[in-house]
Formats: sequence, structure tokens, C-alpha cells
Amino acid sequence: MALPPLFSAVGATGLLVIMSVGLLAVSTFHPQALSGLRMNAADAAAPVLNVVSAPLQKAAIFVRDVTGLAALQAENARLLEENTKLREWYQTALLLEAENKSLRELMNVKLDTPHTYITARILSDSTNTFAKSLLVSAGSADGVQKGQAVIAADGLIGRVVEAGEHSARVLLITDMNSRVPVLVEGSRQHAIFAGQNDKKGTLVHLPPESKVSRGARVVTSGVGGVFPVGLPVGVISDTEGEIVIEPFANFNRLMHVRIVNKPEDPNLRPGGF
Amino acid sequence: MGPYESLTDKMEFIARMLVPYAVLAMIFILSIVTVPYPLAVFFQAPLLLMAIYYWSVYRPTLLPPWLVFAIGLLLDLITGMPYLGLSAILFLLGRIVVVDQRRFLTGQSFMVIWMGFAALAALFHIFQWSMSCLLSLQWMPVRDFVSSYVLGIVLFPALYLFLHLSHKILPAPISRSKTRIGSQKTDMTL
Repeated sequence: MALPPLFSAVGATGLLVIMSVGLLAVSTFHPQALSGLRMNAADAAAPVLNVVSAPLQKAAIFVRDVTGLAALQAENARLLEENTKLREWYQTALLLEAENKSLRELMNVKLDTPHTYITARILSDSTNTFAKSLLVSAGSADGVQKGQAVIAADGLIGRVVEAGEHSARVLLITDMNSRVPVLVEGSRQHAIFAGQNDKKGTLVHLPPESKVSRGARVVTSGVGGVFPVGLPVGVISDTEGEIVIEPFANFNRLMHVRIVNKPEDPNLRPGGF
Repeated sequence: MGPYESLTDKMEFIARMLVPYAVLAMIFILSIVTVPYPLAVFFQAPLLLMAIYYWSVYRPTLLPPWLVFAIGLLLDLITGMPYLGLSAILFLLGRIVVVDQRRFLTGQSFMVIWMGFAALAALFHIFQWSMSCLLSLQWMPVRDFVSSYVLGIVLFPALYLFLHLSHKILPAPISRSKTRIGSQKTDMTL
């Protein structure tokens, strides 16, 4: 049987390269066109990744424990010291909490509804190539929605950009397409944290007259409504030229993440007539 | 009487043929799954490129272009690559280059094969980095690409050994060779 003219001219490999270039063009110019396909593939792979990642995580912890005995001793000493300081802070926090509570009652302040969290395990990451993203083991069936903030123990790590049924894709704050509205503590200056596809990010859209100093903490400002207010993002590590922010979260050691469930606003009730 | 006529022979043939694909599937899963520190460093190497290089040199019929395309596409889909199809292009071009040079590469010592991979991985990473700069319209940090390249070269012998073992299990090609099951004779047929 004779092959179609195009097929015989370029060969099977050539045809597949042309198809790949076509896909590349579609995904570059219409990124949303293929997002459903991406999430379906991730959802299908999630059970396999779930099974494989669990023993690998245990193996990593085992290797870390066995090889890091000296480091463990040093860390233990540091933690003991830190614990003493934190105990003092804990007592202060208890006092402040009680004081805050009574003052709020006196002032009749309406408090924000507390957040709830969905904890998920990291299944896959693409943090070494083009995009800085994670695939996590919770999806729309668990209450995950597009746009929710994602945090780790140390601070903000990203937001949900795609939610499948049993998995979700998280765009990390270090991805070059990520922009997070932030507030510099101390100066109360609003700015945007921009990812650079690197370990650190930069602070942009900061008014030229504003002064920020090294070591200042940066937290989410809540502007735009995507991220809740006050989530720790990072610390200013350099102010020469670009203002560089070192995120609090240690992206290399992540195993689990917490997805911040948006609280239901009691003022918004389902309408309809 | 042919070598695979009885049922047990046929079953053995199928089982042996499946081993390299099982190894490939394992390498694919290890390429996409998250492995925390300190093991993570081993999985940042271009493991799939190593497998594609190995089979393109020693038995390209085992890894036809459509399978290379499917591997690249699935990798992009599952890892959430913003530029879908890029890995498929890179793997297919890598396969074209290696298959073109396989008459030189087959029968060479391991050192030459290793150097061949170093050259291919260099081209692969340079092209990958250039494409990422072009598609995102900005200079991308090179650190991740350099570390992936260096790790690839360092870990190539280990994965080569693993792939070589799965190659030894493969039955010899029936088309031109009359050798028995388990023969290590190199297949020169495409």
C-alpha cells in the first residue's frame, strides 16, 4: 500500500516533529486551550504517583536521618536554644491574645472568619526546568479550587492554577509568571513579589521614594483577594539594584502542603429568584 | 523448527520483550515523581534522555519515533510544562541525531558512548535553554540546565549499566540473527 505523499516526504519522525511544533504553537499562543488535557493527564497519573512517591519520601527521610547524624546534633542544639526563646514568646503571645480579645470585645470589632486548610502530599514537581510548579494529591473532590493560596510550614509557596478531580497544579511563587501582592513589614509599603524562575524573587512596583531595608519581612497584602492577608512570603536579602526577596519556604524539602480554603463570606448568600 | 514455537518459548519471548519497557516506564515515573532532599539530586538528571540515547544506539526498533513522541508529550502534560510538545521535539531531534550516528557508535568502547552522550546532552540542554529564553522572551537562569547536564554525565554510567542489563535480557532480533534467546549480539537492523 502506498504511503500518503506528505508522510513519505518527511517520514514518520518528521511528521511527529511537525505535530509537536503545532502543539507547541497552540500551547504558546492559547495556553488555556490545552489546560483541560493537562489536568486530565495529571489526574490519570495521580494514583500511580501517589503509590510511588510514598516509599521514595520515606527513603529520603531515612537517608537524611542516617547520613545527617552530625548535622542532627547541631540542629538539635540550635532547636533547644530556639525552643527556649519561643517559650518566652509563647507566654508573650498568650498575654497579647487575651489582651486583644478583651480589646476587640470592648471595640466590637468584627473578626474575619478563620481559614481552614486542605493538606495534600506533593506528587510531582517541575521545579528544575521551565516552570516552577507542583502537582499535589488533592483536587476538586477534596474542595480544592483554582486560585486558592498554598502554604508550607515556613510560608507561602504558591497558588492553585488548575484543579482536577483528585489532583491540583500549584504555581510556585518563584515561577516567572507568578505575581503576589505583598506588604513590606515596618514601612507598610505595598509592592508585588515577582518570581524569577530562580530560588529568589524580586520586589517590583515599589514607589521610588520608598525605603526598604535588608532583613525586612514581606507578607501578603491581600490586595486582589487571591491571597489572604498576612501570609509570610520572605525576607529582603538584597537592596542593591533590584530588591531581592528570599522566600521563607524551603522548596527543596517540601513533602506536604496546605491549601488555604477560602472561608465563606457570611455576607454573601446564594441569590436567585 | 524456529526458536519461539512452543507456548513457553513464546511466553518467555514476550516477558523478555517487556523488560526494557518496564524499565523505561520506571525511568519515566522517576522523572516525574517528587523525591525530597537529599535523594532529589539524583532525579534532576535527564534520565529519559539517557534511555532514549541508549536504545537509539543499540536497538532503535525498540523505541520507535511514535513512542519517543508519546514519552515527550506525556512528560509535558503531567509535569505541567507551559510549552506542550517541547520535550517531544527535543527527544525526537535527539533520536534523529543518534540514529544518524549509530553506525559509528555501535561497537565503540564505553568511553566513546559516554562522550557521545555528553555531546548529545550538551546539545539538548543548550537547545532547551535557548527555546525557554525564546518562548518566554527573557534570559532564563542557566543554573538548573547546567546542574541537570553535569548530573546527567555523572550518572550516565549507572543508568547505562541498568539499561545494559535489561538489554541482555532481550531476545535477539529474529529477522537477521539465528542466535538463541538471551544473546547479547548487537542488532544493526533499524
